[in-house]
Amino acid sequence: MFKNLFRERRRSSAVRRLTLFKEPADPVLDRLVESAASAFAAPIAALSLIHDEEQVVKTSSGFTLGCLPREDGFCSFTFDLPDVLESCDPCGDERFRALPGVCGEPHVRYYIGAALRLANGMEVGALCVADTVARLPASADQKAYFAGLARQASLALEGRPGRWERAG
Amino acid sequence: MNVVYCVTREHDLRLVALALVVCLIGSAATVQLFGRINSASGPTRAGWVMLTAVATGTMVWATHFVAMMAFRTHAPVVLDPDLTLLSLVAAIALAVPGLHLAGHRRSWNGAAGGAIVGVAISTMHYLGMSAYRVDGIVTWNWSGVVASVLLSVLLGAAAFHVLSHRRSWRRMQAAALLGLAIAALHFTGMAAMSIAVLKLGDGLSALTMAALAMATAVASLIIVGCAAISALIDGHTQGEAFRRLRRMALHDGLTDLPNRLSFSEELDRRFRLRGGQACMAVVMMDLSRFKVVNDTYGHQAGDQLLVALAARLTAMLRPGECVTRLGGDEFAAIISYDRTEELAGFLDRLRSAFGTRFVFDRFSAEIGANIGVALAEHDGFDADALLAKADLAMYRAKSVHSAEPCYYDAQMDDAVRSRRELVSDLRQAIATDAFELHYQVQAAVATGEITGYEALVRWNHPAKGMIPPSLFIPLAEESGEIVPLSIRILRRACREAASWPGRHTVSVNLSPKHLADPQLVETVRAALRDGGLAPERLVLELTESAIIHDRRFALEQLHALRAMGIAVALDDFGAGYSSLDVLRSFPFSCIKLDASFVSEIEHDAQAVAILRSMAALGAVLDMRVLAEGVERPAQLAIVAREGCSGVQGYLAGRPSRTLADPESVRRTIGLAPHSADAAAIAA
Repeated sequence: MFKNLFRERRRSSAVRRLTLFKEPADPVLDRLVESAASAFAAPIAALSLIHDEEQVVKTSSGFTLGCLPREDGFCSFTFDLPDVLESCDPCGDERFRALPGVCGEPHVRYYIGAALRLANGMEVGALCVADTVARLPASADQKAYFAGLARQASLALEGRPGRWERAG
Repeated sequence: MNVVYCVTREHDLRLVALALVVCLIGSAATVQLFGRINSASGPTRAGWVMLTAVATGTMVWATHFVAMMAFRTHAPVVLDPDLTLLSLVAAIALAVPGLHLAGHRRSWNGAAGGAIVGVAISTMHYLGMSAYRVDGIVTWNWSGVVASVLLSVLLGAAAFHVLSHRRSWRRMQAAALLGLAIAALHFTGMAAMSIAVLKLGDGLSALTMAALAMATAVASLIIVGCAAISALIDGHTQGEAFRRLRRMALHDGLTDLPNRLSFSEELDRRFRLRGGQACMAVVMMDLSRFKVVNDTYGHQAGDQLLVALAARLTAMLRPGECVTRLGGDEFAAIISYDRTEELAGFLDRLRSAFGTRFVFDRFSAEIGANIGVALAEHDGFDADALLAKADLAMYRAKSVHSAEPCYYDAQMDDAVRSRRELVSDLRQAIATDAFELHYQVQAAVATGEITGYEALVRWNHPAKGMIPPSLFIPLAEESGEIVPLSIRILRRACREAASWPGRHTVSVNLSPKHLADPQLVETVRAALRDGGLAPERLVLELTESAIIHDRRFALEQLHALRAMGIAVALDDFGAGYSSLDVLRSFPFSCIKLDASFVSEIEHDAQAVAILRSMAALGAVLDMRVLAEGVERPAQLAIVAREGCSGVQGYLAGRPSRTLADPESVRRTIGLAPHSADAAAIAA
């Protein structure tokens, strides 16, 4: 319980540090999200930062959504997994069945997401791809590539020049 | 003995304890701060030196001050404020050069810097003592004073010498030594002083002294504490930033595998490692068919493949094995093992990583790897040698198109060495123009008249004798010497042809790489001008591959050459793609049918049929068709009957330094059995 609270505090401060510099858009992150969407040929892809009770969509493809309550998104579920989270049938999964994006627009029927982990192991967000039609599970190679994109996104988040000037 | 007596009898022990606490905490802080000096450079380093000096000076001064408050004498005492302050400034000022010197990582710098810090401590103490005004006669035991200074200098030197080794327990040791240096100086110094009381009276009361001591201790600990905390914070952020930077420098961003830099580091490390596992091998891999995937499905597909492959390779690793990405589609592995079966097992797992198809949403692909293996000690004693040998073995695997791992053997070295020597001889030969041109006659079928000569390059190696063009031309192409060689040939051919008695053309072969050279047109123009040859007498022969590579640019070049009046012939037609599209793309003056094709026509009716249609095609496109490799009268007869306009081959004349005799060529070609006889022979 306390451990969890403490971790949430650390997550919040990590996310705040990442968003100290409000660049309007980060081309590297945009490209990674585009790559994810095109590799899956999926209509929706997004990169979000998650802390406190909210999920902030930093970069997205296929939809525009600035911010949503943390419990309304799939993405925070990726935090508990070492690997990627894939759901081919959100309606049949009690964790996701009631999410607004599943029972309402855009009626997500396929979701794959991976946590964005900083070098110190803290999860600060997630990269995800979603589709509105049902899909077969992704192949192991496809998942490996997706996990690679999430890893590159974490590196890009952490290694932004603004942060280096601060640290140096 | 004196010292113990002095401490126990003449001091308030509670305040002595407080002084020792200040001294030890301060020493620990100094050591902590000193760590930052070591890891900084430039102005930052100067800043840390200053901060450390302030902390050290304050700590020494506070220790002294608190210990003086602990000193109980029966005489009244007052303090001179100016000198007290001066003693603090002196301690800080003297600590600066000491810390600066100790911060350099050279063997005796630590001790030397530490000694200076010891001097700073002593100076502070005796300056401080002069501020301590006591109503009595103060006498000094000079040997005690000298002993106290020596102790402080030696212990200070020892403390910073210990610090030059970077171990965490060394820091505790150093802090203890530094604390000891301060305490030893102080109490030895105090023992060396004796006071003959003159009058009893009121100076500072014991209560005031205790209060002063507490206040000083707290204030100095706050200063020293702040400095120590800043060192801690800086160390933490630097540590994290450093770890992150290091990870980024040592890993490949795309695949997250270690990169070339960490590969060399790891290999070096394992070479230096004594003990542990008995054997080590380096495995180099180069992906085959990877480029096709990249070209067909795009750049992202290539990335997908590399990332998925990296995941597969990482998943199969066992302890002692490490896979790195050297760059592009090149991977390398290091494996330490005890038994040969372990290496074989690793290679099997490696190949099985390529065994199954890579499946993605957008595409799927099968790729293979050329694998080269070199064994440590057996094949090389250092990282560079081993890497080079594994590389050689990999190229061998590539050249024989084998999916099996190829182990390095010494013959590969010999082959490479002799090749390298030949390349260097080739460069030499080009520089000195040590080539000869032989000319092979080309004749018109109808009349037997000589139409021209093809220039063929010959290399007479001073030691190895004649080297066939089939060997040195590819060598020149691979080593990048083909363009200089081609220029030499071109200039020589123009010069020699200009001196011929007749007006025959001279044909020069043009390498695809030379056609791609932007300077080509200028080179040709200069060769014609300098040799004094009319452009109409030069024919450049090139193969289809020269055009296919960069079609647009190649055709531009050809049109520019043609505009100068130079004829262009299509060489070796029938051997390669034989694309009709190439024929259509440029008005060649002549199509040269490949020799391999002509050699079949006596026995193969289909070859004859193709020959006939080629001749017809040439007639339609208004290009001469010349048959190469005509060696026998029967072949000449068929070639003539089917409508080729020219021949070249041993029958008309072998390549030679001297020009052919027109009469004998006319006799051989012109009087050859035509039509009816040829039909009889062909049947």
